[in-house]
Amino acid sequence: MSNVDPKLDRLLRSAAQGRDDHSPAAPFGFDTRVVALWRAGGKSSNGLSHLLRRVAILASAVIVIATAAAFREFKTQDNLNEPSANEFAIADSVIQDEFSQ
Amino acid sequence: MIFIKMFQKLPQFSGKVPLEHWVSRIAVNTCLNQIQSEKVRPEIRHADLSEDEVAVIENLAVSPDELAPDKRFASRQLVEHLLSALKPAERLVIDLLYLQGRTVAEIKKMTGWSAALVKVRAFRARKKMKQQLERISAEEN
Repeated sequence: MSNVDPKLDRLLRSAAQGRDDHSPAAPFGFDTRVVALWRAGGKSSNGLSHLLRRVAILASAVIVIATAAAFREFKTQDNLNEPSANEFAIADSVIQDEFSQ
Repeated sequence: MIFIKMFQKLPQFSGKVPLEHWVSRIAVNTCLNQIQSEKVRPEIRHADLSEDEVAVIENLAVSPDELAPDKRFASRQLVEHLLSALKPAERLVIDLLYLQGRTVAEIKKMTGWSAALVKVRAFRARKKMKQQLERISAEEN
């Protein structure tokens, strides 16, 4: 390779030596900006996280309501069981009395 | 670069299309823009250079000695500037030959070009770089 220009040669040699002197690093505050952008973008992005959050809240609400309703139903059944048993016993004894007469 | 762009455009993602398609679209657009900008190749002006790069040019003009170690980064920046005005193939050959220190045989193997083509491209690239350097020096004076 013939020397076209010694100046250029010197420049290229110096540039070649400076190749590893400065590894490419992110500018100051870049990571902070990226995190801030991610947070800002997350709020108004595709709404996927919002949707998931809403679904989770709705599912929790449904679980709580269903549990409360089941518990209430169970208690009602409990209350109904005793009087009805008594009523059946009374009716049974009345019928037996009528037959015995 | 593509991932940074993707990150910046994240709020624009509607969710109507799969993420992979959206990312590939960004990648394609970024590459097309890069190719477009490659075609422009604006001339380098003296005003575009940093103080350190100007100091390197002055140093080259006044002294026949090798550049000082503290000028290496600036000279690297200056070479990057000069390379930006070259065609991609010329830029590649200068990078491989002078900055990475590869031999013509290695470049021949890597690129598939003939040895003569590598030499011709390197010669032309150097000539263009020399002209750019002279023009910038003349602007300075």
